[in-house]
Amino acid sequence: MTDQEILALYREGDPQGAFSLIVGQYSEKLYWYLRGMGLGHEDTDDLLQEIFVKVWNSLPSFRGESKLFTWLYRIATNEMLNFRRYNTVRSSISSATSIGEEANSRADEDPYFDGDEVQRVLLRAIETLPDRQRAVFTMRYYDDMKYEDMAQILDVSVGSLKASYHIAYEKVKRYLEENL
Amino acid sequence: MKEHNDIQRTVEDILRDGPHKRPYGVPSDYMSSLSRRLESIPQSVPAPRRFSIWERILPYVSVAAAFLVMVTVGGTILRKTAVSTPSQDEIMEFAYIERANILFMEEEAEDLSFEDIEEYLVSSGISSEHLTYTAQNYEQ
Repeated sequence: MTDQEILALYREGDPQGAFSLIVGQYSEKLYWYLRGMGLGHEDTDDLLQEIFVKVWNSLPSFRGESKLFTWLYRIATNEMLNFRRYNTVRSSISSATSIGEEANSRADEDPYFDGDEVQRVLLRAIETLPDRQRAVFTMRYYDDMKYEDMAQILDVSVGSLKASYHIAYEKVKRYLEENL
Repeated sequence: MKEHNDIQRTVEDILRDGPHKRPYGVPSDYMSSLSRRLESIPQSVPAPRRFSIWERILPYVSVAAAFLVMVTVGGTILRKTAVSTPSQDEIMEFAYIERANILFMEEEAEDLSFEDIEEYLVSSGISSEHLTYTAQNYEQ
């Protein structure tokens, strides 16, 4: 079902039916999106619950000015950034661990990692990127997302995104060359 | 050198245009259980309401109405407690009474001698220089 058909179903008075369709079409995509941003499985699972509660509560105010898909990704991105900021502050207070050290441990200790060593080094490289560069790189690299869609999700210009991607690409490339 | 070239090729290969598979697995049956759990959210979270136009403007109408009541009640209280403007008759009566008091005082003053005046001035604490000046300027 297309996004327009889902929204039409919602407006016709079947909000639960429309919500179920949104869950069916986007829950897995958003799961992988959050995992690609460096979250572990359990954190991603918890965050998805919060994201979809927010989606359910925000559906009445969604006017359809943007695509449903970009609206969902924007909610997910904002919740993920808030989650990372909160956890960065909490972990730095409790253990004085630097962001670089924390990134290494997540890539190395994820029990659901099933790639090879090269992919592990790539994950470590991605986790050293600042949030926006990480988001842009992840969406391009894993989802091959268009810049126009990313611009709506992240609320920045296409030009700014292309610059962020180029910087992120060079950083990841340098990290791989130094660590492979 | 060969190793450097191999690494370069590997990096270029890794970073070629996407999409690329993510190197993660999930517990078995995770995605279907995830969908079931997420689809149950409407049962645990009250259905969000769409507000009518009247419900959306009601807060602003309430504030405007409260302001109107305050202005009306406040104005009424101020009007009731303010000092009333005297009528023309009241003004004339007041002027007549004041004129009568002045005439009465003038009559009394005509009966006063210089000694009475001097005694009054001394008891009120006036200086001797002022007293001399008054005596020189007093007309009997």
